[in-house]
Amino acid sequence: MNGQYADEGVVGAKRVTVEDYEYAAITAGRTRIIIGVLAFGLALFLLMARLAEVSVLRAAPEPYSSRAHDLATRADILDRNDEILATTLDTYLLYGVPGKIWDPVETTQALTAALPDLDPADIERRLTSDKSKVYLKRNLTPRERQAVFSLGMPGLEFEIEPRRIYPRGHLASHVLGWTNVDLVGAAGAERAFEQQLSADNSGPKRLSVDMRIQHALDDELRAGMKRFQAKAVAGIVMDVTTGEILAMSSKPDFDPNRFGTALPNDRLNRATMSTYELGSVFKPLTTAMALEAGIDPNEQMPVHKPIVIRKKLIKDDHPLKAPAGMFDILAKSSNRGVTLYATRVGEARQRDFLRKLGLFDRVPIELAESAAPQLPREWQDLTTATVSYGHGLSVTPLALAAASAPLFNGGWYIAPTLEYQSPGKARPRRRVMTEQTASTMTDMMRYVVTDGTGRNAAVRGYGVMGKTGTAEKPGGKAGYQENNLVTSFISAFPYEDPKYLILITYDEPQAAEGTWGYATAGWNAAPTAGAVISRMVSILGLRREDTTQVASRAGGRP
Amino acid sequence: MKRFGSFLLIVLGFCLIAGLYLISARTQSAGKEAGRLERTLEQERAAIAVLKAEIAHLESPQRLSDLSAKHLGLRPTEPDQILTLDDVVVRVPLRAVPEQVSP
Repeated sequence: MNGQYADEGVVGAKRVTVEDYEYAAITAGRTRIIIGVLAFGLALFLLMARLAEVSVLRAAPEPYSSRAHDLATRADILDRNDEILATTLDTYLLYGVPGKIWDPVETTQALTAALPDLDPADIERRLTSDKSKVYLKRNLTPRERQAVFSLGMPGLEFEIEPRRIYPRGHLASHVLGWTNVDLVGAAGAERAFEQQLSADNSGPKRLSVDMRIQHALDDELRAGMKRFQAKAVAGIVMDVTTGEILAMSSKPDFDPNRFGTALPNDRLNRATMSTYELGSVFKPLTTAMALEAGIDPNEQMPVHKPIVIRKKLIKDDHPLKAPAGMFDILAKSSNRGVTLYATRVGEARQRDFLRKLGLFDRVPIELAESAAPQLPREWQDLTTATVSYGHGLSVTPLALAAASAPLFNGGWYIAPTLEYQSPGKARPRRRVMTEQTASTMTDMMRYVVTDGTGRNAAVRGYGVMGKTGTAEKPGGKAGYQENNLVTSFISAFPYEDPKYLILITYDEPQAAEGTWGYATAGWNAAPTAGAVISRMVSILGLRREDTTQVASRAGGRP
Repeated sequence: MKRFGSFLLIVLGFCLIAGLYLISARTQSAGKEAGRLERTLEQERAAIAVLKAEIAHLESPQRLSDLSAKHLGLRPTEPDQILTLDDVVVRVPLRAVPEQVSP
């Protein structure tokens, strides 16, 4: 249209300028419309582009999780059969926001009705304070939280607060240890395996401990401590083929759920932290050393004659009236016999042998609570004699258990462990005596139970081997206190293929009814070990051995 | 024809916008649902952990042995109480099978 008018203007002879107001208005209007459409189109495009961006291009937001990621978590601890020994539960921390509370008196009444252990006066005082947040109660169970929640009171709020729970109470308390309030391991396995337990996404930690055996051991030790009125008692059950600790117990014990209220004396793990002069339970080690040195076990030693070293008379509790061989020296627990062996083998080899058995160092177990032994200050001929029957050298019960295991597993030293070992997995081990020596030692220790001081540990049909040890505690005028004893029994079974080692140590046991006035190891530690073994065989479902055959093998000694 | 085309395009645009809106609304509600399920899952997990701990407490060997001693009069088994089939066979010898009477 625009062109049409212009053409007509050109066709005319004269140049006529026609002012067309409408045309100008329309042109202007058109431009505006085009601008408007463009603006609208642009806005629409922007909207669509933004919508497309929001809906399609942008990644979906992370799904909301109620569990804040900064909350500490800690893996469970299981026993070797996957039974829970320690777990972490969410508990709730109840706090009040005084600014949001309508009526402090009514709130207090409702709250103390729901949680009767709270003190009304104290709660009311806190709720009327001018703080922005007041803590009312820690560690609410889910049920308590629900009770408070159903009150429907404004101004009562919760925070999640994880807490370590030991559902089995006292069971294996010294093995498990405890954590501090920030869930950091402070003792026992909680401390030893801290890294694995606190790592993100770590699975539960499986210990070598068997809860059932642990309970049997706990139960027998508790009963024994009561019966013999002992100051304390420690017990260890170990698998001699793998070094796994199947149970470890120390009495008195504590409840790790309330470790804060436990006395230091109860928290002390006597199996790994207390060092004792353990006495005659060292004799098997001395006889093994004698065998290693090539001494003939049948050689008759003059044990009926008195022996004096540096003016000290070596005494025997059950003096033999004639020369005796190694079997009888061990079975009758003759101090003179092992003194003769140790003296003949010599100081250097004795020290070397004991060092090989790990008795000069702290036991290389995962626990931080593992005490170093107390060694004699100087090693003279008298030291050689006394150490041969377990005096003058203080070690932990666990150290003795680890040192005695080679007698039963064919001569290998294997460091004890609290970690579960899958079957068939080889553990590092080192040879400390020949297989022949170990085999003779099992024969001898079987003989101690059938014919010697360890008779009270016998469990018919299960070939128990063992050795008693009664030691007087150091101190007093004569150097030793006659009435303060430490009695131990080191034992293993079954005789045909030894697998389980049991060590029981009583600290200051007394004579009790049925012990004929004796407080020696044969009357307390040995029967306790026997009781633990007879409970273990039914727990583990072990088959009875042919006793007649066993008797003939032990009886077949020279 | 051209106008019709533009109209169609605009309608199509609006349809797409509407479609996008619906999808994004559904995504949002699905997201909320996922969050809700996640929370439920977390609560259920916590509840399971509590129940497991409770079971572990109730199944504690000490508690069970106390209860069985109190209510059932049970004690730990003695090794002599366990017999294998072989032991039983030795104690109760099998009777000889009577000879079949042939017709």
